[in-house]
Amino acid sequence: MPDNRGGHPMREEDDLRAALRTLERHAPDPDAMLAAVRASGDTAMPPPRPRGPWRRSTGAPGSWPGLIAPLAAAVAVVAVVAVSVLVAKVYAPGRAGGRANHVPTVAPPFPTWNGIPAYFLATAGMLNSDTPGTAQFNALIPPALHSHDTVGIIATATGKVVATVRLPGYVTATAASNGAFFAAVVRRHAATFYEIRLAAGGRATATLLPIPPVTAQIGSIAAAPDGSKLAISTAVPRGHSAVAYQKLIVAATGTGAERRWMTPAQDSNGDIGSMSWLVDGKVLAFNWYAGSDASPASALWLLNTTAASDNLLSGLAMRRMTSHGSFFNGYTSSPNGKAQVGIVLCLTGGCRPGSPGTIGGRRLTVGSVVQFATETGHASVRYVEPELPGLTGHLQNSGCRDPLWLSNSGSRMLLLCFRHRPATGTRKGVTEAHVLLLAGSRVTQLPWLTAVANEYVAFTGTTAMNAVPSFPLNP
Amino acid sequence: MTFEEFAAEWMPGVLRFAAVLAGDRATAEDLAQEVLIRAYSRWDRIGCLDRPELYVRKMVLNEFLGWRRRSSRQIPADSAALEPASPAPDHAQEYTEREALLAELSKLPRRQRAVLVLRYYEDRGDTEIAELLGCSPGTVRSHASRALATLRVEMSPRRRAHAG
Repeated sequence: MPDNRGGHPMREEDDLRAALRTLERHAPDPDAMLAAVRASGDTAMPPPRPRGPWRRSTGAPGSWPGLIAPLAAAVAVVAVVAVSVLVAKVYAPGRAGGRANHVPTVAPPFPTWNGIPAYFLATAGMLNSDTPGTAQFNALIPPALHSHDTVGIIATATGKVVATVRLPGYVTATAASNGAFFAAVVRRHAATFYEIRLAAGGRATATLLPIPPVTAQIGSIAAAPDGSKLAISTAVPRGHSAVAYQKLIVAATGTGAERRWMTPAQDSNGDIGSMSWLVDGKVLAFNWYAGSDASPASALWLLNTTAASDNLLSGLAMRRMTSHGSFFNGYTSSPNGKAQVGIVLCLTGGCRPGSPGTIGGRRLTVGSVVQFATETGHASVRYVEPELPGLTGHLQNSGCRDPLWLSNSGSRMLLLCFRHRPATGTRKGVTEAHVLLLAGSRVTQLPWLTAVANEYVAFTGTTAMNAVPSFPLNP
Repeated sequence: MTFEEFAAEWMPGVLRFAAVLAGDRATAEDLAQEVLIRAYSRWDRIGCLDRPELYVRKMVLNEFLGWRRRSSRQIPADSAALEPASPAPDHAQEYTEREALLAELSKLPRRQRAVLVLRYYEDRGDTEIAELLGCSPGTVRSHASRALATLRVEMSPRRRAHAG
């Protein structure tokens, strides 16, 4: 390495070598990585389609070895067509589908774009129900998604709708595994559940899962990473009172076999919020809102679904909602369970700006994105949405929502953030929402997702909230 | 070679390579997991190769460079919106020259950084690096030269200050 500034070349090369070696300390733990790989990718993924011309076989043209590949390809094509026809008979987009006996295989993982799942699921009801700046946003929603019984698969890289599926009822909740989407569909006071996959040629298929219909109000659903299980939170009415027990159902998507957890009586006024599975597919993380914000039970809970108890709150209260001089609306767990992300909802003193609460020396602001380390409890502010000029101190004129997606370790996340200019006597209020990718300390805007992404869309590993929270209890 | 045999023998090295390329644990985890899941799902093909570990290392390299290529199409946030995430603790007292070098290394374009990692961490020759990156050896030397010049420019004031 030539050096014209006074240092010795070999010395600098050695320095560089030594410095690079020190980065080995950041190497992920092999055992944990292997477990994550097995859990996330334990699936028989079809071999990738050859690119360009078909690879020639080793046999001479016309010989048996030379014919095997084309023959196998022809057979495969026929088989794929036959399967497609069968799937189409099971459920053809645009009309009510019949019942499938089982879901045959685990879906291969979604491809990724920029480290983010390349596709996510959205519905019209989800897009326009609670989006800031509703009027402006509704105008941008693709026409293909204007119906409440239609879901759309959207490409993360472009924001375009790549496929739509019409389901036989009102889509009330959605979720995503590593390779498939799931939807709870309400019709005639009962919810049924569909698995939605993106098939070759940009076509989506929906398959009715053999999970018994649920007549209680659906809260949210969460798909295990491999799609083998679906967690369903429900509210079960108790007599004629307004009080309802919360119930959790975990159902096998292949067989419909169920396991149920109930709320203990003293916590019957509580509420399950968003849920997500950890990467092992056994532990379910869910937010629990007890009757009081200050209740120790209001927390992110980790429930080992393989343990014997049927008490919903028999797991570990991982992180309380009231923390660090603020109140969090809930937490999103990273899939590896080592980090939680929360959005500051209220500050000490009743949601007023200018709170004395700080994290890492930075003032807590309503809407700030705070990340907690599981092992140490260390909290750090990952992102603060800048306020609009001239409105500093105005309550909640900027902020973010719960992450749309978190990477395995929580280092990368997709955020929906907004800045709001309140109405005045002469002007309507305006909310500018935007989607951004947070990667370490780098922030990148993804403006093409503004119209199609909100907190109700389903990305792999995170749980979309239910589309219509006010959906009435079934009689 | 089965995936388990690969994992037992080669995965630690692959993870170290990912860490050196990425520069921090979280990105290294994402990078390695992204690649290993894909490799696992295609292991029936990769496992038949003579040196599957080299193939997986190349996958790691491509994924690392691919992130860069893809992100370059994105619109950067307004500079006013670029808040420093997770504020790092104040290491002023113990800010060694090596850490400063690593900090400057992390600012390099990914392709230049990859060349330095392949040359000075993996000890690969320019021709081999060129094959891995799909460019000419001259381009490799150009990347290396620019990267080293950048580091030299950034590091010189620190060294002068340190010496003074």
